[in-house]
Amino acid sequence: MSIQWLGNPVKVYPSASSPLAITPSGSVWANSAWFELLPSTPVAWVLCGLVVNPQGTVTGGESVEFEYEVGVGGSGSEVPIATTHGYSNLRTAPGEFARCPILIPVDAIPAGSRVAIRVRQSSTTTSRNYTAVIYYVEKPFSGTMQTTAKPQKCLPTAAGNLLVSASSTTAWANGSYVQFSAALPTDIVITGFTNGASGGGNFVSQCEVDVAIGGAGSEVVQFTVRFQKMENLGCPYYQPLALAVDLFPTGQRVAIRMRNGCTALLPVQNRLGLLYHEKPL
Amino acid sequence: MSILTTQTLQFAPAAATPITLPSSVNIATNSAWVEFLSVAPSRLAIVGFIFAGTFASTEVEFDIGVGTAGSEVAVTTLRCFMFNSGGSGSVDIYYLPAPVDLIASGARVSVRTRHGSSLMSAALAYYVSPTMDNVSGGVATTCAPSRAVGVSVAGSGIIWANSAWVQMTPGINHSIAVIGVEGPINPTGGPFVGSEHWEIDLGIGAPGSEVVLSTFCGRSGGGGSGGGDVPTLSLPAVARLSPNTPVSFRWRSDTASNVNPWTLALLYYDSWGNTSLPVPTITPAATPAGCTPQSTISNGGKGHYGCNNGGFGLVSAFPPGSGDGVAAVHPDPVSGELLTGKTGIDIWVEVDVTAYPSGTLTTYRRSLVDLGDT
Repeated sequence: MSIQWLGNPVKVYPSASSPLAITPSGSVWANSAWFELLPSTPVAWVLCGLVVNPQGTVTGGESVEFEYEVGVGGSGSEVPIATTHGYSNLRTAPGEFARCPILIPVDAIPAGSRVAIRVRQSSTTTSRNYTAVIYYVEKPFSGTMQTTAKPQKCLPTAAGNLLVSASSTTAWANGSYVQFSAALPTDIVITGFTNGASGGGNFVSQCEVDVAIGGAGSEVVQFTVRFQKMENLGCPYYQPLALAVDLFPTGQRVAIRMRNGCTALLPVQNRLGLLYHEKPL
Repeated sequence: MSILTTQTLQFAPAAATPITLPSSVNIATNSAWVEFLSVAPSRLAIVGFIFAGTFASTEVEFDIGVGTAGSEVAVTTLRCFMFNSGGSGSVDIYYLPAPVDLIASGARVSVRTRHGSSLMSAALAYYVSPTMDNVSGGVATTCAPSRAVGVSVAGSGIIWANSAWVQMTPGINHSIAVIGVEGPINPTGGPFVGSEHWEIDLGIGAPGSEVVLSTFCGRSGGGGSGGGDVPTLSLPAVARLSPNTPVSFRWRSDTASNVNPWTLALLYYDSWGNTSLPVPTITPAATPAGCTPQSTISNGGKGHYGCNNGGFGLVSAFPPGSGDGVAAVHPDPVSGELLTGKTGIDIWVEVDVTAYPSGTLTTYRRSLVDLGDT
């Protein structure tokens, strides 16, 4: 057992210049066009993360959930290799949320690849100015950093996160499970979670979320995440796990429940989603 | 190397309000210790904190300690930038890239801080009896500078032009593994002047000869001191540095008016991990099972080592049932190292088998030694 390490520099694209600007679609959760980040990578790249901005210089005036998708391929033939899910409230997009690291970097950008990015959102507003920067490692790299050729995906995807409620009567008591998948189509590893808007009003509290498998009424908790929610000021809208959780086999139903310490605005609700890769990695 | 786990992250407290952390006068002064776990239920690996509370922007160091009340000893130190809890966004989670497995079973676990803010609280995240591959291997985390404010350098005043380099450490006298840096902070307010894209170069080398080790990028949310809510900036995997390697940083942004000083500290594991452990000599075990030793074979083949004179192949150094507690510990190979002149190569194999749906994990480890009689 040891610490995974990387012997090559992490680089940024575009670097020391304006980020890529992306105009969203005017339809809810419809993909935008692909916007070319660069026409051809000089060598193979491993995608380590994105820095996103859902509003740019435009004050959106509305809360919005959105997804960024990084794709590889010629125009009209782009293949997604990583999707991130985010949320922007009425404020100016908290900085913590701008960085979207990919816990298991994606090794799916061969040398000479055209790289493009598109977005989709829960809004019909087209004046919102989405921007993106990626960071990556060039291949070959030295070290033991784990990578995967499998895309990072979101659950749910191309849709708003699912509303999960804590107990309506008691602080730190579990709410009911909400089904995220009736049956996984393949084995997956879960690498992170995402947050959307609160459903039951603003609140300040730490929350615990159990991610479970099993039939309704027989769920078995596979892992738990904990985070802080601070009124309308934010929460971790995009949060990689400490380690990827490898406990979600094909065919399993996946459900999530929440509890927290809030007693003032019951029932407390949050919109939650998951980040994952399909196996084998 | 894997960063997968089949274990569940635990929290202290669990399903309860986070524990209030005492504050101190400043980052150079220890607070009192506060207990997080009265008794560790087994060996623990510390992952990090989930923060809460009300506090002003501040650099904070957290010592995690073991020992009875009044006799606590710090075993690892975490450091981050806590952005004003009343600003946009919230500092929530600080996870280490590899859990620090330094808490023995039965230990009392406490935390103390060094910062000048107030009413900060937290829950501690940890794994019990860690079995995952990616842990620190008994190595602690620390920072440079330590017990002092970070080092600062002002912006260039020109869009995307680099600031000067500023050195965070002239070098540590042993190998370290760099995690990243604490989030950028301006001691007199936020580092950002508006919605702003920025980059930070981490450099190594003597002053005037810095080479970029890696680049961090990000974006502030704007609003004066707001939006700089980045408690730490971590590399995708740690960067190994040799002893006495100077480390510096510089920064640039798309905002010419930002000439604020940015302050950072270096975060690192205090060695490369298990490569620093003693290197024992491997002694091959007896003849492989299923083999009846015999003399040189006559059909032109070489036969198997241990079975035939002049035989070749691999032999299990640690037969099944012997346990892995005696397995040799080796340094990782140096990047680019050639096999020329080497007398053998060790292959270590670890297979993690997960039984579904129980999720029961069984780990099989074998060490094979290529013997030098071929």
